[in-house]
Amino acid sequence: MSLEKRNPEKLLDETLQQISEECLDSPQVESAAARVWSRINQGDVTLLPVAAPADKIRSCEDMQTLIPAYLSGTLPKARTLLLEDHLKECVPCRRALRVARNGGKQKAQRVKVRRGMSGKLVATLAVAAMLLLALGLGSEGLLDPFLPAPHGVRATVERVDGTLFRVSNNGSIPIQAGETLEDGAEVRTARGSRAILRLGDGSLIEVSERAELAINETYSGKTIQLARGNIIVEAADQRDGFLRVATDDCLVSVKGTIFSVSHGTKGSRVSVIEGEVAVRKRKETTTILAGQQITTRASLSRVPIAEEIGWSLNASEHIRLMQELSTLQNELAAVLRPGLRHSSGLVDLVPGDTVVYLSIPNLTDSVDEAYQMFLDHLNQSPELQAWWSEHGDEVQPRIEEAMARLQDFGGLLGEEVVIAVSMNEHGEPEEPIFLAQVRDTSTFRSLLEQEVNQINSEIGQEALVIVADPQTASPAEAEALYLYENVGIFGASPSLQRLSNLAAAIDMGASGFVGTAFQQRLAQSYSEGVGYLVGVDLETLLNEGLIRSQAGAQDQIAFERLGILDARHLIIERRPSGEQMETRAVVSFSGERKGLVSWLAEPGPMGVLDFISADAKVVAAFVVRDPEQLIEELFGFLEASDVSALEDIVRFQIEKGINIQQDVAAPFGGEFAFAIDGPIVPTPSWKIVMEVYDPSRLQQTLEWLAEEAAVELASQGRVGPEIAVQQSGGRTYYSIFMQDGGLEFHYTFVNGYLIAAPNRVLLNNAIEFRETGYTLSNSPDFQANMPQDGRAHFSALVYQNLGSILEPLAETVANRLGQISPEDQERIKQMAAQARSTLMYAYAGSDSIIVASTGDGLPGMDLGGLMGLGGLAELTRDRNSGQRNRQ
Amino acid sequence: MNSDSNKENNVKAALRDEPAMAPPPEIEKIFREHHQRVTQAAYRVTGNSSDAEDVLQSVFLRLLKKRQPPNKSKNLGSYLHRAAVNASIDLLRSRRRRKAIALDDIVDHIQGGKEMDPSEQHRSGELRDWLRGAVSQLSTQASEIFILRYIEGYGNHEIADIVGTSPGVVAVVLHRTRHRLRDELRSFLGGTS
Repeated sequence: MSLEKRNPEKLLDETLQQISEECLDSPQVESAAARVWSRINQGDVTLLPVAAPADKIRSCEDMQTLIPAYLSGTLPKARTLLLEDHLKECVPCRRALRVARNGGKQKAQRVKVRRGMSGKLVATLAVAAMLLLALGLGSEGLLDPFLPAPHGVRATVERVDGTLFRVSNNGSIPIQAGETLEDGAEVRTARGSRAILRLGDGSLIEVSERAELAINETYSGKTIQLARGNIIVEAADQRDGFLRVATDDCLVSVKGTIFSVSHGTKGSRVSVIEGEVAVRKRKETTTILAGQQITTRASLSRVPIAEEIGWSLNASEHIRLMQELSTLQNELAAVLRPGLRHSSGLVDLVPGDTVVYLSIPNLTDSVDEAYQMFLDHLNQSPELQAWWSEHGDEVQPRIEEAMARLQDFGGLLGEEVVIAVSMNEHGEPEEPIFLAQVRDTSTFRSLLEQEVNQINSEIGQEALVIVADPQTASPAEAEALYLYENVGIFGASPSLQRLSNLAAAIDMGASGFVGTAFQQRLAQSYSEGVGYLVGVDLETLLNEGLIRSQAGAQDQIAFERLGILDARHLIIERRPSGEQMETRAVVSFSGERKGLVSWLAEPGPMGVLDFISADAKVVAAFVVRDPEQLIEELFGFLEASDVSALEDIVRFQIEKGINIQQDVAAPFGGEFAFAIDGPIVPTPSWKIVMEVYDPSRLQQTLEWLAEEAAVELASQGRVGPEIAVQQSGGRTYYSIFMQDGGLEFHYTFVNGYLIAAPNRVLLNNAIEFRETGYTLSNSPDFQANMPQDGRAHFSALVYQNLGSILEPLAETVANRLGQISPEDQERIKQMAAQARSTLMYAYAGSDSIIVASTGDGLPGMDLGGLMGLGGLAELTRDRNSGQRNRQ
Repeated sequence: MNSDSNKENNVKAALRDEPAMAPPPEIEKIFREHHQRVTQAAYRVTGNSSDAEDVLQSVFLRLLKKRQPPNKSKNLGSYLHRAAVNASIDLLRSRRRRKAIALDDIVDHIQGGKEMDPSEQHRSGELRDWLRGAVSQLSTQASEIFILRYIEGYGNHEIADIVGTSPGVVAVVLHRTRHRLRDELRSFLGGTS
């Protein structure tokens, strides 16, 4: 066989084998040795030849000429040492090395460029930068930014405290209140100065000291180009166009709201005082609401909004408005809490094959009460009045009308509205049916007819169809929502069939749903009292769904290994518990939990929490079953779902000489915790605590990982992490840090736990907390969030007490900013105090997992927020789009 | 720039030959015990006997210049072994630049193959040559580790000890290097057929 056709792997081995077998005869060796020794003895020797004589190395340019030889491995050792040494301390040369590595040419030109850019190059770069900027800003309406609005006045200077300059190449000219700014005119505030600019549409821009900005207008809208500094924008309602603030790292779009943008060397921070703002940074767009804040870079931390806008002339009004709104929000939430329902006349009437069941309390009375409360607040608070007169006057009639309609209808409906979704034979969701009880049928009917006629005539088609008897009615020509009422039961569905089934069920007094396991589970919830209720029949959805959708056997096995196929029901309940709202989600299983869903251990004591202080801001902790077994099960799951991934892992283990199960998982116990516990600035005081059974083995693995990372990074020309060991006070401390300063953390082993933190002080603090008993479990805030049930332990918990950060911060801010009056300081503190702590927790039972939360402090921080209807809407949308894709 | 010139001077000073001096007796002992090992390793890596002789000389000269020669530590053997491999790699690199092939090389090629027909023998000599060249193009660490493993037959753990790294790093480097060489061999074969 010719060499070419042989397997290169084999050929390589054979060649290596041949080379390793080569040897010199003994006499040859001995004679060579004799010659060498005599030369050494006589001093008649030179070292091996090194590289051809090189020129003297005087500068970075000279250093950079060595790079190609360095990369090809032909640079002599001495030069290599020299270059490597130099690279450690010279950024431009490192960059040149990187460029050369990436296949770029050696940057002799780069050095020239630095000596003095040619005019042509500068011009090219400037044009490119302008194009990039324009493209970046203009992708919403791609061409708009290139179509400037007619030249003219863009803004008027409303007020100047101190000095405001118009900046141009000819120097800075002070400008006064009343002067106008044309398109693109750059203005800058002097130190200690402030200014207010008014745009043509009435929007106000308040500019802090040392800020620089320009205003551009195109046909589609206005853009405030903020070069640096802080501004607060009170945007007027933008009818067709937009108002945007652009910094070099984000783009903020609004339609009538108050917000602040602060832009500096480290990035931008956007805070919303009232309304809603969309912030785009790089490719992602985030929407933030009143009281929320976003920063463009991780290194720029968030600050209380009161601090952010403390410089403003209107700081106290802004702060008072925010405070009023947040008080109102809390009070409304209290009013909107539903009473508990202990029975339902509707659950027995939903379709027999219902897989998703939602029950929403009829909050008409509460909403009305809330609205009255809002009006009361409005009358009492001048800030709210000012705000409402600016923004609410237009919408008030519409709100009044909506409230009236709600009163009309809601007042006639029973105490709950039920939505039921079934599954069709393909395992896909069918049209839902809405059900409600009606209190006064004759009034309801006439009202309904009136409304339907009005809506249909407004739309111009028969979108709503009242059917007298769905069993005999013929379907409408176009898609419609059918409405049906009989003996005090009102039903609505896009499917006539659903209503026909409902009519049958009403006749019989019950549908086929009665007696099913799912119905019994829902009935159990009702007997315990229901506020908001969401039930999902996972058993049918998963098993039937899997069979009906004709999933492959492979998928089935994968699901089985996951343990999901044993799931029976998911019940999410949100109801008042004492003064707070409690949200609880329960997943029950038909037998003992298996597979991946059994990872979460049954509730147990969490020793890890002993290292976390009573002052912790955020804590997440959980207990798992044997980590080693978890890895085994994960592998099992991979075996069923993705064999190639498993093969990759096995190969990885062999190559690297590591056993993930033995080396990574086995040393761990079952408890894990993460906490932010201590000062937030300059570095957040995070801490990780893990139960460890075999510290020495874990240490070995960590060292291995560090080396592995070093090799990986070395291949990218970077220096990897290093582990340093230090003994102090009878304890061994380990530090891992990156040479290039990116990362640094410290850890130590204490009584079977590993504690890791960004510095050693925090490690020592953690140990001290445990010794002195100043721990989370003794915190009054934490205790106040404890659910009232018979369980002593959790399987997992997430706790936040961010109010405890806000309060001291508010105090510092209040002290630091002389402009804030004592009343405002008090208000800030009040607001901070109102931010309540929340606790989310999970109990894993042998055949169920219960996830629940208490506290309804910050929006989105509790389970209710996380699993709210917004999420459900998303889910429905996803499903719909999925369906479309399938068709 | 000043500190750089100083550093360079230091490096150059280290490379400059020092005045002749009779080697101390312990070096002679080490030479007697280890010259075989060093020469054979150098021969395998460089593929010719005169290079092996140069390497032997170079290794012991460096040893002499060390202010504190590695005393009779049990690792002396592998220390010298490593030194031989490194000196050989250096030599391979410089020789590659000079593109000079000694007569010995041709003889060595012919001696290399055993049970092959003449053309196969010639090709396999070419392959060994190619491989030596390819290895010398690798980074210092990779070529050293690769040779210690596949030509000198050390285990990953031993190599880790010798080179002063972890077995994990050794495994990674070996894997990558093999991969790279295999690819290069494939294109070499494609190019020569």
